[in-house]
Amino acid sequence: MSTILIVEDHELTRKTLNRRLSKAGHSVLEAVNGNAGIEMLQSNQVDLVLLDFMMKNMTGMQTFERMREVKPKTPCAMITAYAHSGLSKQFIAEGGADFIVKPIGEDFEKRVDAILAKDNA
Amino acid sequence: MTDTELQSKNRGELLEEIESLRRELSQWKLEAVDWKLREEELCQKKAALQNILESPSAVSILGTDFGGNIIFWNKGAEKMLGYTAEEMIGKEKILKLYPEGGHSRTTIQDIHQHILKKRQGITCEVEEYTKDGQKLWVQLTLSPRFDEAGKVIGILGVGANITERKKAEEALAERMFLGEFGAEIGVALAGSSSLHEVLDQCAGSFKKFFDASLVRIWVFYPHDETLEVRACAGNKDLTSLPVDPVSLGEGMIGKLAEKRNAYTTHTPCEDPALADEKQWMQQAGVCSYYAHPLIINNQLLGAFELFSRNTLTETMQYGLSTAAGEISLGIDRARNFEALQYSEEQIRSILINALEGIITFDKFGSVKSVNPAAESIFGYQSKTAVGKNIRLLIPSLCRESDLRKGTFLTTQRNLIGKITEMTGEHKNGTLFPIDLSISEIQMPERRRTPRSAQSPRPTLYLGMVRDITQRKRFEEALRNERDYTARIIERTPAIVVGLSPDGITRFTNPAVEKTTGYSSSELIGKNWWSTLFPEKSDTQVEQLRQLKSKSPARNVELELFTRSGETRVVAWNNIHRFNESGQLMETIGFGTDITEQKQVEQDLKLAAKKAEESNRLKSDFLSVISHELRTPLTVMLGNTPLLTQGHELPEQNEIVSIALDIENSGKHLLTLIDDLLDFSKIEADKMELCPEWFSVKNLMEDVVSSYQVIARQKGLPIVLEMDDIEICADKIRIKQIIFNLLSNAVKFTDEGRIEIKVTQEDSLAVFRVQDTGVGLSQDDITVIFDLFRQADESPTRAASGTGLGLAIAKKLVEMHGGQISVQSTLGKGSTFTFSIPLEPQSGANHEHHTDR
Repeated sequence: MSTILIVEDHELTRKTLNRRLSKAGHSVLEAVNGNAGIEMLQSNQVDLVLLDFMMKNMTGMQTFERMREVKPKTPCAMITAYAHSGLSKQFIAEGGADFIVKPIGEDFEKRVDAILAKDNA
Repeated sequence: MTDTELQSKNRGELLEEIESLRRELSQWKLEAVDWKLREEELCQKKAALQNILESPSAVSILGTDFGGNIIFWNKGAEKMLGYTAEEMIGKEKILKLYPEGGHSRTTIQDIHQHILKKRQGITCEVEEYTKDGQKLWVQLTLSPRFDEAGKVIGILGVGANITERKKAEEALAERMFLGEFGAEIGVALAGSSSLHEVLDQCAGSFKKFFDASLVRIWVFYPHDETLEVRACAGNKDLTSLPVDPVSLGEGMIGKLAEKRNAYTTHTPCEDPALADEKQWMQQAGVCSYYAHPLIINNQLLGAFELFSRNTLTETMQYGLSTAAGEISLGIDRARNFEALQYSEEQIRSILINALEGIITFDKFGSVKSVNPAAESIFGYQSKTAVGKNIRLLIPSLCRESDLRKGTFLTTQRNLIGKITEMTGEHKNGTLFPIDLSISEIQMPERRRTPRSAQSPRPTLYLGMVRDITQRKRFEEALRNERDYTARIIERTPAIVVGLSPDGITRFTNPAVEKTTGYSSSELIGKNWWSTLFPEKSDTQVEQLRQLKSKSPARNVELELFTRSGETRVVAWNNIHRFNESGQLMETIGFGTDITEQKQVEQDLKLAAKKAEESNRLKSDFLSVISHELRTPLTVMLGNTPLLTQGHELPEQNEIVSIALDIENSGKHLLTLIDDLLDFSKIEADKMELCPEWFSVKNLMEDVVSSYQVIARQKGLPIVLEMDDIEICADKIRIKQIIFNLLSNAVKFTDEGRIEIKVTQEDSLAVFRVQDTGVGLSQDDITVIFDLFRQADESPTRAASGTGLGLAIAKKLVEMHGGQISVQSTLGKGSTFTFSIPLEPQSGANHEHHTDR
C-alpha cells in the first residue's frame, strides 16, 4: 500500500493510470503538469512518482531534475509514449528508477511493485 | 758726299797708302842694309815715316824691342786700343794686348819667335783686347826691325781693325752651319720611321755639328710622369754611362721639362745643377751646356741636352731651339706612325682571326679583300673572290644596275651601320641566311702625306658577315615552341594574365575577356587587382596578399567583379619570374573560373542540407506520430485489462466511463490515421478532388457546431459571420481545411474568442479564422505550412497533433486553385485566411476530376 503521484497532461491517460494503480491498492495523487507535480510532492508523503515526458511548459525530464532537488530520495519513473533510447539512458543515468514505454501492458502493476520493493530494500 | 763717306774714302786711300808705304818701307829697309851710307836719303824718308806714324790714322802702328817691350805707339794705336803712348811706351809689353786665356796670345808669341828667328815679316789676323776689355779682330802685319848691323832688334807691327768684317764672316759661317745642321736634322727626321731611329739620328747630328762630348735625348712618359734617356751620342765612354730616369721636376732635365724653358750655361763645370756631371765635363773640356724641352701642341714629349766643347753662340742656341721644334714634330710623327703601325697590325690580326666574315668592296661592289672567316663562309678562296662582284656572294644585296652605277650604297644608306638579314650564296650554290652589316670606311692617307692634302680619298665598304643558319634554325624552333605555347594560352579556357611587380596588366589571353568582360585593351596598362577586385572583404584582402606575395599561390579562390558587375569565383595559381639578383620581374597568373562549379557545390550542399533536414523532419515526424499513436493506445490498452482481468468487474457506471474513454481514444486514433493517409496520398500525389455545388453556410454551421462543446469548455466563444454563398468544390476537403484551422484555433487559444468570417470577393470565397491565441513568430510563419512542421517542435509544445494538418490544408487549398496565408503576432493571436474560386478554373489541378 503506497502513495503514487502521477504527473501527466493527457487527461484520459492520467485517468487510465489512476484506475490501474488504484485497483492494485495504491493511493494515487494526480498532477496535470510539472509544477503541480512538484507542489504535490512537497506537500504529500509520496512513495513513487510517475512522470510523463511530453508535457506543456516543463518536460518530464525537467520536472524530474526539480524533484530530485526537492525530494532526492523519492523514486521517479518515466512513463512516456516518446520512445527514445537516448532519453531512456539519460534518465536512468541521472537516477531515474524506471523508464516505462506507453502503451502500458499487463505487467504495469508488477513493474511499479518492483520499483517500490527496490526502494524499500 | 757725307762725312762718313768721306771718312771711309779717306780710310781706303789711307790703307792703300799705308800698303804702298809698307812695301816701300821694306824696300827701304833692304836698301838700308845694302846701302848703309845713304843716310841722308834715309833720314828724309824716316822723317816722312815718322809723320805717318804720328798721324792719327785708323791704322795702329806699334813697335817693340827684341824683348817685346813697346817702343812705338802711334795715334792710330791709341785710338784703336784706347791706351795712350805714355801708358804704353817703355812701360808695357806687347802681350798686354793679348791677355791670358784669350785666343791669340800663343799665336802672337809664336809669330814673334818666328819673325825674330827667320827675320821675315808675316801677316795674320788676331784678337786684341782694348783697354776697356773689348775684343777686336785685327789684321796685323808684323815685320822685323834691324839695326844698322843688320841684326834684328825688334818688331814693327801695323794693324787694321777688321772686327766688323770678322763678325760678318762669323755670322755667315754660323748661318751656313745652322743651315747644314737644319738640313741634316730634316733628313734624319724624314728618313727615319721609328722613334728610335729619329732620336738616334738627331743625337748624331747634334754631336757632329756642335762638337758635343755628349748629347742625350730624353723622352717623357706621361703615365708615370718620368723622363728617360732614349738616345745618346758622343764619346763612347760617356754614352755608355748609365742614366737613371728622372721624375718631372727632379734634377736638371726634370725641372727644365716641368718649366718648359731652355737652359744654357757657359760655365757648366761651376753650375751646381750640373754638379753630377762636373768630373767628366772637366776632363772632356766641356765649355757649354744647352738643354731644351721638346714640346708639341703644348704637350711635353721630352728634352735634349748637349755638352759642347765649343762655346755655343746665341745663333747656335737659336738653331738648337729651332731644331728642338723639329725634333718634337719628328717624335710626334714617329709615335703616331708607330701607333698606326701597331693598330694596323692589330687590324690585320683581327681580320685574320675574326670569327665573322669580313669583306671589303668598293662602290661598284668589286671585292677588295675577304678574310679567312669569309672564305669559309662562302667557300671561295681569297684570291678567287677578290675582284669578283659582291653579288656573287650576297645576291640579295642590291640590283646589279645600281652596282654598275656605283650608287647603291649612296641611295640605300639604310644598309649602312646596322645589321640587315640577307641571303648569302655559297660557292656550291647553297643559299643561307646571313647577318650583314656594312660600314663605310675612308681609306687612310698615305704615310707622311701632309694631313691637309686635298686629294680625294677612296671610299671602301666593309661588310661584316655572320652565317646565321644555326641561329635561324634555333629561332625557328623557338618560334614554333612559342607559337605552340601561345596557341595553348590562346585557347585555354583558363585565364592567363601577366602582371608587372606592381600589379599592372601586361598581357591577357582571350579567356580573360570571356570571364571578366573586359577586353585586353581595357586591362593592359591598368592595375589588375584594383580593376577586377574593387571591393575587398577581409578574406579577400588576405587572399590578395597571398597572390601578390613572392611565394607562388596555389588555388587561391577569389571573387572578381566582371565588367557588368557580376561576381565570378576564380581559383588562382601564379608563378613568379625573378631576375638574377632575385628581384621580382613578372607574375603570371592562371585563373580557372569555378563559379558554376562553386554553384553546383553550393547547390549540392544545400540539397544535402535539405535532405538531411527532411530526413531529420521525417524521423522527428515518425517519433511524433509514434507518440501520438501511442497516446490513445495507452488509454485503450491501459483500460481493457480492468474489464477483462481480475476477479471483480468495476461497477456499472465505471464500466461505461471506461468504455467511453476507449471509444474516444479510438476515434482520435482514427483521425490520426486519416491524416496520415491524406498525407501519404499528397506525398504520392494521389489525392483526388470530388467537386460539387454546396452551401458554404450549411457546411460552416456543421463544422462550428462540432467544436462548440470543446470551445465552450475552454470558455471561448466562436463567432461565425458569413455571406450565403454556394461554391463548387470538394465539400469533404473544404470541411477538412476549416476543421483543421478551427481545431488549431481552439487548441492554441486559452482565452478571448474565435471569429470565423466567410465572404465573397469577386469570384473567390474567402475564409478567415481569427483567434486570440499564442500567435506565431515570423520564423514560424515562414515554415508553418511545410510538411512535418509544428510551430513548436520542442517536447514541451503546447499542442499535440501530427504536424500534418496545415501542410495538408495548404495542399488542399492549392489543389482547389486557391491560396492560404497567415498573419500573426506572437502572443496576440493568428489569422488564417484562405481563398478558393467559387467554381473550378480551367487548368486547375482538379479539372479532370470534375469532368467525371
